[in-house]
Amino acid sequence: MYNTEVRGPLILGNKSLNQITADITSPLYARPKFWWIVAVGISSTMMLLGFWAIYTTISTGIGSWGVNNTTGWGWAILNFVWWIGIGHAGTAFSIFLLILRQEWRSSINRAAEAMTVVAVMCAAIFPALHMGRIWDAFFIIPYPNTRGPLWVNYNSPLFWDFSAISAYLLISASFWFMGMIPDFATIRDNTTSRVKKGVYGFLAMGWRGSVGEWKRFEGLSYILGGIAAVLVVSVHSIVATDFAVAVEPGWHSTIFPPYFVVGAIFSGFAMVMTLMIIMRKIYKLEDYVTNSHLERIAKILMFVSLIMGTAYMTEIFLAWYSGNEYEIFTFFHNRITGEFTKQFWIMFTCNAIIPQLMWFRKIRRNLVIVFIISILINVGMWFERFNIVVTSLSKDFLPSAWATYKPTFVEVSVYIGTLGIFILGVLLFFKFAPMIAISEVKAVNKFQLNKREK
Amino acid sequence: MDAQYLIGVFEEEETLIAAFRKMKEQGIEIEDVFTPYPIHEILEKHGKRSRITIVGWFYGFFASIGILAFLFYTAVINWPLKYGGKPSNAFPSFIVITIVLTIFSITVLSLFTFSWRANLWPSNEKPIYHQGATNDKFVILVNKERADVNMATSVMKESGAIEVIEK
Amino acid sequence: MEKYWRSIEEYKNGSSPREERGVREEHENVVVDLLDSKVVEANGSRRDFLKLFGFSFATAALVSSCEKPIQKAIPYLIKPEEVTPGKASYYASTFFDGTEYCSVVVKVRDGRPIKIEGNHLSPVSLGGTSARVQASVLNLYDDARYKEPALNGDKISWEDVDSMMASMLADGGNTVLVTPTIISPSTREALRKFLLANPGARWVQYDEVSASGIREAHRELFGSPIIPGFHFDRAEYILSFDADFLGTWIAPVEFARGYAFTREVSTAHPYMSRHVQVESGLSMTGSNADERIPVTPGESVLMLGTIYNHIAGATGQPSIFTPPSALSVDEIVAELIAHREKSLVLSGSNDPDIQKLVAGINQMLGNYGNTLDLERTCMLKQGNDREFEDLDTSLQQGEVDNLILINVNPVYSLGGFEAMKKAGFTAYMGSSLNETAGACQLICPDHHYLEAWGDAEPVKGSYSLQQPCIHPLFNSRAWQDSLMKWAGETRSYEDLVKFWWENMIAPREEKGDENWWVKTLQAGYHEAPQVMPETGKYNPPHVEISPAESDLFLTLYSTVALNDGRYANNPWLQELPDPVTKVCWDNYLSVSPADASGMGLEDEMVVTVDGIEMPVLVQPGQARGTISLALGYGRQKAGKVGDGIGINGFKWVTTRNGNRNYTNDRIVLEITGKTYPIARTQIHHTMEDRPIVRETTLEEYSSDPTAGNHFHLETEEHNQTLYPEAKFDGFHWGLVVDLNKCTACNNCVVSCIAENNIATVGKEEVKNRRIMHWMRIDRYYSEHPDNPKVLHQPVMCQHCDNAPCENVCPVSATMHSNEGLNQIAYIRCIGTKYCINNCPYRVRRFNWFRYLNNDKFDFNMNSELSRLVLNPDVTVRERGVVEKCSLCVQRIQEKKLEAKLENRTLRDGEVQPACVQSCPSGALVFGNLNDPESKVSIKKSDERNYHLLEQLHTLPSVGYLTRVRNVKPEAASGEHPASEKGIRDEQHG
Repeated sequence: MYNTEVRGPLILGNKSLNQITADITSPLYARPKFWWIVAVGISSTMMLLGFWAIYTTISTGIGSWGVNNTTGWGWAILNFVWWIGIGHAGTAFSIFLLILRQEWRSSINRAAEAMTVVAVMCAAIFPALHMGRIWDAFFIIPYPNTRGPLWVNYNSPLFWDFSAISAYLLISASFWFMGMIPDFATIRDNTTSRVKKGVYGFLAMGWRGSVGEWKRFEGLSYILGGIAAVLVVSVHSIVATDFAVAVEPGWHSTIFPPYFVVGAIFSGFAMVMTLMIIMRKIYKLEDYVTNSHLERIAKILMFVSLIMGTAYMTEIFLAWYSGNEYEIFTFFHNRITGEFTKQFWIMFTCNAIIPQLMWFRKIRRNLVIVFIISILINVGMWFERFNIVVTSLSKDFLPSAWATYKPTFVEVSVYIGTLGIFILGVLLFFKFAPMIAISEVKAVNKFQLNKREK
Repeated sequence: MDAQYLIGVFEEEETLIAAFRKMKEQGIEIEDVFTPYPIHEILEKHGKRSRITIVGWFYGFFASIGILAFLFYTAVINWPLKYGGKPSNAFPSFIVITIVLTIFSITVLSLFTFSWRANLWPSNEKPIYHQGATNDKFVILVNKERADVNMATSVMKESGAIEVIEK
Repeated sequence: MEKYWRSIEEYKNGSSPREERGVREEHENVVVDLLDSKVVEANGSRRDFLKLFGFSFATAALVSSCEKPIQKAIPYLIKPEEVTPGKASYYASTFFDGTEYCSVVVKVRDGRPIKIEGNHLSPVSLGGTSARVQASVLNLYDDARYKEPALNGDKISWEDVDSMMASMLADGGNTVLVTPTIISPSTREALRKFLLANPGARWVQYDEVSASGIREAHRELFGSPIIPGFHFDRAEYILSFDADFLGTWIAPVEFARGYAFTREVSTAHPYMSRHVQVESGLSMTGSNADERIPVTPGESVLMLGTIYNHIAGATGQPSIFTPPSALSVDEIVAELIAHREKSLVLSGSNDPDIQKLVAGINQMLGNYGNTLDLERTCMLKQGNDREFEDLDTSLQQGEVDNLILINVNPVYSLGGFEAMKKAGFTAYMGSSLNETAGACQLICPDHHYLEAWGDAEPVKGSYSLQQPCIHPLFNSRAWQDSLMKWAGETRSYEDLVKFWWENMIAPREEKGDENWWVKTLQAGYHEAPQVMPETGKYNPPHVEISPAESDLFLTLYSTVALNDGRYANNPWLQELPDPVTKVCWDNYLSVSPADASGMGLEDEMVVTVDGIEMPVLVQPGQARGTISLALGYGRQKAGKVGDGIGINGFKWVTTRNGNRNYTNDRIVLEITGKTYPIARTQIHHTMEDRPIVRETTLEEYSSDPTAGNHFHLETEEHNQTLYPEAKFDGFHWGLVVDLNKCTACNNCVVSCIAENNIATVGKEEVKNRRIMHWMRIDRYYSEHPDNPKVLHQPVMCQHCDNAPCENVCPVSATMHSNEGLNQIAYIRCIGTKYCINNCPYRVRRFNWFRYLNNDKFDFNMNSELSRLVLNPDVTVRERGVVEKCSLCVQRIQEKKLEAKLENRTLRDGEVQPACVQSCPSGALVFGNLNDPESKVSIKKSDERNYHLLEQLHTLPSVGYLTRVRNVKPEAASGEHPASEKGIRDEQHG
């Protein structure tokens, strides 16, 4: 077990159990704040724009996007990968830290998981939408049918993807919900409003905190934790195979799976950082999400950024070392220099260089800077996906087929729409769900008190 | 009177555990314990340990076999097709799919098992013995038929129960 | 067909009109049942076409029920019983649009002509076609066609037309007929009759793009206005001045086959012709040349003159006056002399003086009688500019009362024809709308050539027949019929054709023999054993060369797609990228890179030439001091597709020595600030030193057959595989493209469009890189931009045995067939586009929109009439699915079934995909790779064979043979088997 004295307390102030409950559930009882309503307004408008774009795409065809017969994938797929990346934080957070017995996770993982679920839902929109005939999407499910029966192609990374994403969505959602059951019960038992009692009672599914419930609760969380750990790694590895399995220069590389998983954790943690800084500020939860928490995330980001840098360099080095003229062209004449130079260097700076600033304690502890960095990282990660998807496709083997790619307004709107959905989802979570795992925090808190008394 | 249960309410984890130990020593049968967060000593000492993890393992075991078999049947026996000059038995691809779908099945199955065994399901109404049990109180439940009421009461009182209710 | 008569009585008195009607209806019903499921693609249009088809069926029925002579829509050499819906029938016919001739076989499916194939029996076109011929079938279903006769825009019946014209002509007065070149003997007869009946009448032939200079030159030198026959297959050395003889000049299809014949190299036969092209704009022909010399028109005249004098000196002939050329011509002269009697000098110019020099050189080299034929002369391009000038003047003086224009469009191709208004009465006979027709009072709709009878004599002594393949769609009438009616003839033109063939063309012993007629109609051609030469003795030219002095020449050229603009309303041709610039849907001003940098011009900048705005395209290989503009654009009345696309280049046509001249040295070019987007199907023009198109020189090749192709051997060694090599029992279809024979004429591309119902997407979508063509011809430049080497490469689906696209399709919509075909099940495709990304050749196409029945894509698929051209054997793809070349799997299946019914194995070469079937240069070979004897296997085992991107180990079924350039003069000299045995001997013997 790790020792709190060394790194300072996990939860500040000597809180009573009731105090904790009150602190965390306060937003549920308070009337919605003005900023909250505004934010909801803005994000829903973005969402509506997205819906319009989705409607246009489905009714007129993928032609309403900028992709073409050379660059078959564009914003849709890169945003898909981006969202999935972000969606990695929650589960990674809970799981890895659970396995590593990092107690400090408990004040953050709930929000992180919520974020995951919304992000993965946003991600799932894109692969569905980029299909030419979305109404035939069910063809991808191997079920006995009247067409032969005709099954599906198990060699296709897209099928792996499909299975992985659905599994991931299910498991992260259930993990998240399951964790909230005891807290729902808490709310049920402490609220006075009949409505809340009804709703949260429904969600609490009759939880009472009895021994039997806790036993099985822990059992299940071990199971889910265990398999989710595998899934977190495999999902993004599989997303990576979408590219690694293809013959395209810049895609066909074995570094992709690990490189994508790390990238995912990178962007995910950055997003957690962003959200946490906002959340603790707004809801006065500095005592639960302490500076030391954030500093720990900052350290992780800094370290992962090193890995990213290494990955980029390795890719470039191998392109040169392989002597493969197509790889060399893609990396040296289409990314580092050439048409997509800007995108490449934005990626490199934001992901590999800027986070290194956090070696300095001062910067690391300056929330404003950390906040900016955390956002820059996700910008950088977006451009990383752009580099991978667009540059390789637009200029590959036959120069005669080379083409460039520009997104259309519709395409961009879909992305804005998903941002709207994400923000809206998070806002609703803040308002209506216990945004910190109450029972876990209580346990941690108690454990801390014991330590002090000794 | 028709009260069936004796309910000891505690403020502190420690007092609860103390009471719990004493009662165990004196062989007072405890019906159930309600706590706002899991307390491992009690989870270990009270009742049988949950077998859900073992069950989960079996789910995984059979699911993976089933899925592999399905993939093999559909791709090799039932409807083999030529893809990119590869043999129809593309085993490496099967592995990837098997891993992911196994996880999928384990999740679904163990969720249902959990909700069945811990009998938790939406809008499930169970008697709540003390409102505080999910917030800041620790509650011990004793069945009057199966335990000596006075003894239990005294034990709990001694070890620091703030109140002992009959219900 | 027992239903024609119900009772013996009925049978005895023959069928009365009423019963005929009964019969007709019955047969319409029969047809309906038979066809309901068949012509799904042509949904709305089924009704119109059934009317016609029903009628043809009924008439067919009448054949067997009564004795009176019958007008048949289906020639009776095909028995009506054989018209089985769902099974195509093929009719030999003739394509001639006034400039271009081609002997064709028309594929008629369920009564609709849907595809033009080359006629391999024809000694002239030798089974080849051109992009324009392939696309001509779509013109049959063009919405811009005239539906009925009209007078000043009001409907009018044919009877009224006839009575009106009768009175009109009876009044006497000057009647002038203007027709395009007439190569049809029977039509000439019809015209003769008309002219006899109307003494005041005159007949002028008019070519939109004229070659009268050649005829004039030959009249002067040989005493008769001929264009000699060209035997490219016998030429070892070809020197061409601005003649785009592979693309548009005179008879490209015929020439291409002969030319390709001399480009056939193998280890057994390491010889090929040498082709030097002297030109200002980079033409398709120039792009195929072994050596290309970019010069201004002014300079090329001097070169020609200097060459003439050198050769005159060498052969002891009188020389002419000419300022010396700045460029050294010694090497050329040396080669010409080394190839006496086996060389060919051509000029695309229409200046008689230049043509005289050319003829003179050929004469001095003794090419006449060898590579040039004075007996079997070329009958095309008979238009005479001077005659037309006279007509123009007499029109100006108002001497013409009735002006009858037949299938010509001077209003467009003269850039205005004001004189026409002075004519008392103007009538237009033609099948579809154009500027000239718009300016005429009376419109007499003419048949499309697929609806009409006719014949042709493209080369003196070789005739071919044209038969209707569908009942006229509209209330149109063959213009010959009209003329004969107006001449008081009772016979129909069809009868005249038959009469003429049976009595004038048929060999003496066969005269009047029905069977001969039937046989000929089936074969589609007849060749007279010998023909009388018309030429007298040669007298050398007396020419004084005074070169045009100018620092900027504008040269006008016709494009492979639109030719002289008559196809402007054909969406297939509008979207056909130019073989060299890869631009479609526009014409533009080609400027040389040097001049461009000098003037600060870039692609898509807008300049004005004599005040008219046009976009600029910086064109490598364009001669300094010249700019080029394509003819055939800027049509104002062409139809919904062609109207207002590009600029009308005919405005700049000048007259030189009495003939229309297609260069202009008096132009003012100014730069505007504007830009104008151009749609290009290829935006990167070099190969980045990748081994994509491999080439070598003849010299290297003769010493080492694998020259330029060593990379192939390497990869063959290095390529390892985890899996066992794919094995295919039965067939393994394969295709080999001989890059040395391919001239990039784009015939295959349009042929593919017609066969596979490929959608036209329009300029915007082409710009978005979403063109749907299954087959594209890549073009790469190498070496210096001022005079680049040009490489062409047809690329279609490579049907890889290790296809990357197949692995990644999640729903197994694309997978491999047991015959080695990479196939797509459209109905299964959900459009993830992953296969597009993973195809290293980028040959897969995605249906970005619904192209059928969509007003945003108002082309042939958005018109009930034009949809009749769709091929019922090929699915019209839905929005959101991926499509690509299938190697015409529908044709493979058809032939396999035929073979099965006849209980035999497929013969090699029996199955021919659309692209292969009509390739004029025979560059594509298709067949079964499992059969070591098959042509394709032999080609594939050739040392020159390689696969595109073979280092990826995709194992394509498509192979390419390295391009060989004959750059060293010595290599070509000496023994040249091509001259021993002509291509025609090879074809028939």
